[in-house]
Amino acid sequence: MNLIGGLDIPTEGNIFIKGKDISSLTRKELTIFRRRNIGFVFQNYSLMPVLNVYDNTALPITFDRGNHISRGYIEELLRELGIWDKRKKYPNELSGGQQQRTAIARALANRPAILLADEPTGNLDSKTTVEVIGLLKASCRKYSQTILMVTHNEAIAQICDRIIHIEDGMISPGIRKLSHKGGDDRC
Amino acid sequence: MALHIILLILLFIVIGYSIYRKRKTFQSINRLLDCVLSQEPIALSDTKEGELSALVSKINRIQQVLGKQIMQAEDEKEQVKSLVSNMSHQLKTPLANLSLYTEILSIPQLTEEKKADAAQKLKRQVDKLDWITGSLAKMVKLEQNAITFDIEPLPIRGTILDAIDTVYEKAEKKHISLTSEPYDDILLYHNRKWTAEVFANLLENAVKYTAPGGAVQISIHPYEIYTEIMFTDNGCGIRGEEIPRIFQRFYRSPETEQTEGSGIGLYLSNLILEKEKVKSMAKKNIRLLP
Amino acid sequence: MLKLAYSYIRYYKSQTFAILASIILTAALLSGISSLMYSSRLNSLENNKQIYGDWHYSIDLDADTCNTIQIEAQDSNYQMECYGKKSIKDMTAAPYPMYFVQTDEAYRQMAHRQIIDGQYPEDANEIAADRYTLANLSSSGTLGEVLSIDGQDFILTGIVESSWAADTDEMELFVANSFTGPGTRTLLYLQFSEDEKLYRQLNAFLNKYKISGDAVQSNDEVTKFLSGEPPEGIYDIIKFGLTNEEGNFTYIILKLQSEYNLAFYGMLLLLCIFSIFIIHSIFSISVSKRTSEYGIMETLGISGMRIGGTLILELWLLFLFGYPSGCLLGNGILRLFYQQLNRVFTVKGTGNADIRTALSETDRIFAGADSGNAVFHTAWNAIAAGFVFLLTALAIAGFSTVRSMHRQSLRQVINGDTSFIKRRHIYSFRNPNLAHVIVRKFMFPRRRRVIGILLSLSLGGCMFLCSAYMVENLKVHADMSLKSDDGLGSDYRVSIKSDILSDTIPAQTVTEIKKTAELSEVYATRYTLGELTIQKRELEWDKYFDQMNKSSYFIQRFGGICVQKEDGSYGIKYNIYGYDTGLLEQLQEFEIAAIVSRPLARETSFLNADSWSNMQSLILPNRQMYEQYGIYDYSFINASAADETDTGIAADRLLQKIQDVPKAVLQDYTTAIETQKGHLRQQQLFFSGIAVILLVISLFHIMNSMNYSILSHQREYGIIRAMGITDAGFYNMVLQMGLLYGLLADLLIFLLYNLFLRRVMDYYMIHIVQFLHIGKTVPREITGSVMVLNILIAAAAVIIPARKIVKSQIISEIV
Repeated sequence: MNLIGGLDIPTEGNIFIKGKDISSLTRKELTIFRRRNIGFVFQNYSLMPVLNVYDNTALPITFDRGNHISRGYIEELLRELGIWDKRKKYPNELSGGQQQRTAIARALANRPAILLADEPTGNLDSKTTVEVIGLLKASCRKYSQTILMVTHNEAIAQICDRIIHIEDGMISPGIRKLSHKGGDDRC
Repeated sequence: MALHIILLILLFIVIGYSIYRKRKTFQSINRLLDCVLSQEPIALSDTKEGELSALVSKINRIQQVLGKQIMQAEDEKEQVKSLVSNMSHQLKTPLANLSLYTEILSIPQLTEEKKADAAQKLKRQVDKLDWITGSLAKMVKLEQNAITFDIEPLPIRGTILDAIDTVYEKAEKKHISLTSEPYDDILLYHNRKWTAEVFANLLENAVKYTAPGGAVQISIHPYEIYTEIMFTDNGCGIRGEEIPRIFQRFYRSPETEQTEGSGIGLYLSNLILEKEKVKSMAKKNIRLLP
Repeated sequence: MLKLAYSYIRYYKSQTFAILASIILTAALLSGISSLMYSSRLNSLENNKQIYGDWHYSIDLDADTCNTIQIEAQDSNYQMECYGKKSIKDMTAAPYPMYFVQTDEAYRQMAHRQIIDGQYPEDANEIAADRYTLANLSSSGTLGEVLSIDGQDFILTGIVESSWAADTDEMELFVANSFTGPGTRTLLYLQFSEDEKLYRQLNAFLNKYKISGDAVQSNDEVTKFLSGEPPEGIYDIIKFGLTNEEGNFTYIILKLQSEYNLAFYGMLLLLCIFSIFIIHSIFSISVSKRTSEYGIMETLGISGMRIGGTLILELWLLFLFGYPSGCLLGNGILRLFYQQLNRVFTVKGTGNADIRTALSETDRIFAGADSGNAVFHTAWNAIAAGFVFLLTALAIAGFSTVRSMHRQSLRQVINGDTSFIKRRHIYSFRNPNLAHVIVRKFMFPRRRRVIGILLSLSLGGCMFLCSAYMVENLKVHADMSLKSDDGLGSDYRVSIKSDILSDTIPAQTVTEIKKTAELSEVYATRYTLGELTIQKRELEWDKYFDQMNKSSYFIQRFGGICVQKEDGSYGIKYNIYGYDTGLLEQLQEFEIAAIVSRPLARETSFLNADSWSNMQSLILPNRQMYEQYGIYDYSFINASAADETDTGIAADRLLQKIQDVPKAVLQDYTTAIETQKGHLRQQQLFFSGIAVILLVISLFHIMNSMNYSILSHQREYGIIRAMGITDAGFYNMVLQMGLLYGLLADLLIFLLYNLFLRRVMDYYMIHIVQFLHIGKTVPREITGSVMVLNILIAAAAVIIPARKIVKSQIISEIV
């Protein structure tokens, strides 16, 4: 996932995103590409402790100077995730689940083309997990996003459109199932 | 005095420059949007710092999304075309049969036996036609979200029993055993009538594509956030590459050319299930129910 | 515990290095300055003993007491090294004031007046004298020569070591014990052992022999180094200063300075406090890096005491290694360079008026310059004291750090540092550069931290500015103080060594001198004594002159400064100067009857003497002197070397001209000025050096703080870089913060210096060092460069850790 996100450099081979070879980009271009097209949900939330929930969510939008922050959209996101009434609180005042939800909101705020999520529902209770997965799916449909999720939970995996198994660092040629709508055939 | 003049000149320069920049920005954005309209690829880089580059990146995405939608629309158009042709194909046979049997019936010297036989066959064809058109109608209505049905927490056992009822005879005829593991009668969110129809469809498929003497098994696994209902058969199975396509409209596997079928059963089932927020998967037939 | 402390030291290398370097530098500074001061003190003491004699006290006795007393050298309360006697037998006024003295060997040894040639007189008509006296008597200095003094003939039997300073007012002729004369005054010179406090010994001695203290005079220049007088208790000083209406803060400061050498100890104390502050700050950073570990250790059950003990042990280990090395370093370097630096702390007048000084500033400088190689002494006492003090202070610093750690709950400690100001304010509504907000909040967390960093940033700059200010003033002071011995700034001065008014410099000579090409700015002054009669009722403060009247100097010469006449009016003696036009112009504002604060070209032979150095004077144009008083000849000449003339040649020229004038003496200031400039350069170097070292110490602190400030949030910075901040953007943000720090520090320096430190410095200089030149400020270049340097330091301190972050892989930071 780090390789796709451009955080790591492959020792050999190329990575193509949307037809573009990202290993041909300079470091700066890669960073900007990442900023505009990729959203991250890290394993341990990685929120900014000095910003409140609202600002944390709006953070990636502000990286491009002069970018307009769509307040309505952020409010919608926060409400969907159930943390709207905590929007002025700081991360150290929130529970683990709330922090995770903030991280997800932050990843979705910029409507990136690709969302890379590392165990996004790891610390959530079942009800919240369902809501989150639902939100992810809806967003993905609406904005034509690709959400790449790493999880150890088979159940969550089943919900996804496509599963890629990785065993011992290699992609295992298992059965791939695609839903009837959306998704490429190519791998 | 001179200082004032210099400041004034500076002011003018600054104003002139900002007007110029604005115009340039307008022009470049204009050009970008033109590219989108005419579906040309955009030449500007979207990985640079600056407002223009950010806009380029967004417009790129819009272009892609639009392109995809156009492609989808084309696909659908194709599908509709094939639907129509398929439909006419599908309807052709029963209609031909209909006219055949009607002709037979109009023969005066027909024996009572033959008449009854022909009438029955006629009825069957009509039923089939009825079913096809009915399914098509349902399909269209579901796709257009014209039908809403209630989803409530109901005990699942009744629904399954309903489905089993429908196909029991056919299974019996082929000597296929229909079993289920013991399960609790849990409450699940579904609509009884429609879900039963779906289950029936699945079971029918199972029966249809299993050799006589085979077995069909129903099992239910409750997980934390969903419940899994699995229909397993030991029939001819589905090839790996086909699994993505089986839920598509009118798809019929080449291997099933011998068997009768319209290709819309699974598609319809999937539509219904999606309405109930159910995920269906084929891995030799697995269904998931939240 | 020792192992743990040691491994921590090895692990946190940069903190260890910073603390160690600070300790070493502080120790070097402390020990260096102490040793320097101590050496200067000792050297000055040796010097003054050379100049003023190796004795501590002299007691004025009459002949009977003197002969009857049995002096015991040793006693339970005092221990005398040596004692000697000098009796003044006779005096003659022609051709110069000269005294016939009887001395014993002990005295001659103590006063450095031993026979260097020939032998001490034994017969009543034999004398011995030094070369200066002999020269003035027009004697060739050969033994056996017959000299005629005051009508009597004497045979020269011995040559005595010359006394220091060529212009002592009293020339001595040494006579044998068989010489008879009318004088009865005998002086007993005592030299006590310097291991004990002198005044105690003196008191014991006086008590033993029932001698009153009034008769005692102390050799101030020597005893001031050796606590010749009982110091007033500190409590008394402060009490007096605070409660008595005549006392004030200045009084306290001055008293403390003169009795206890406040400046020295005060400076050392400030230095110690400064270094403690720095070390505490650095240490608390290294501790806060480990708070989570300590929290875990505490949960595991290790008591807080042991943790604190480990911390303190760490500090002490570093200290034990650093302090001796620092002392070695400081003293070693100073030992090498002592010759260049030995003038930095020449003990100047500390505010006490020198009652019996025989040397003017110039002569003192000559005396000092020729004292030969100054020896470097290490101040072991100060080093030991510093050791103990710092050790305890470090322990306290360690304790306070541990205690502040304990204040946080255990869980908070494990979770780490959550220090920033929380505001319920949504930033995205207003200023959407949230990454910038993040960096700002990280780097300017709580007010305390920010102020701490700002203080240390500005401290170095402030000290630099203060020392530059001091140096500026020193420069001007040096120039002016030497030249203003007479107020004119001349290079040379010719005067007549006599108190007979008829000894003058002929007008002819003056005219010639004025024509000399090598000399310029030649001013000649005429002089006479005068008396002003005022009526009784006009003298409002009739007690004013009482003190002066009692002075033996004035009684012998004039019968008193202000004498009451028979008709009740008062006659006040005063100077009358005759200035020529050049001098008059220098007085600037004048019409007739202008009041000037002090005369230029002061004379020193008549009324302006030790007791009272600013006698009343009347200044008349030379023409008037001639017309009113018929005075045509001159009493002193001031001259300077012409531009681009070698000062040696100019001096020679002048000497030539005055050769024929009897009793004329030339004083050459130029060498003195050069020497003084040399001293000044030393002082400049020294103070600048100290300022630089302090700057370096605070630099460590700044680097450390900034380093910690940025690297402690490495993870968050990694995340925003992962989310899309480019390297250039990151540098930009961090650099902005660094520059902000720099600018704020500059502002702080500016405010601190102008509002507060300047006043402190002015106060110090006015009251303690006693010179201040208004309008002399630190030159703009220095201020400007200090500010720029500050900004550069702040920027560098911030860029270095930022580089570290940018160079490392994002992944390693996040995980």
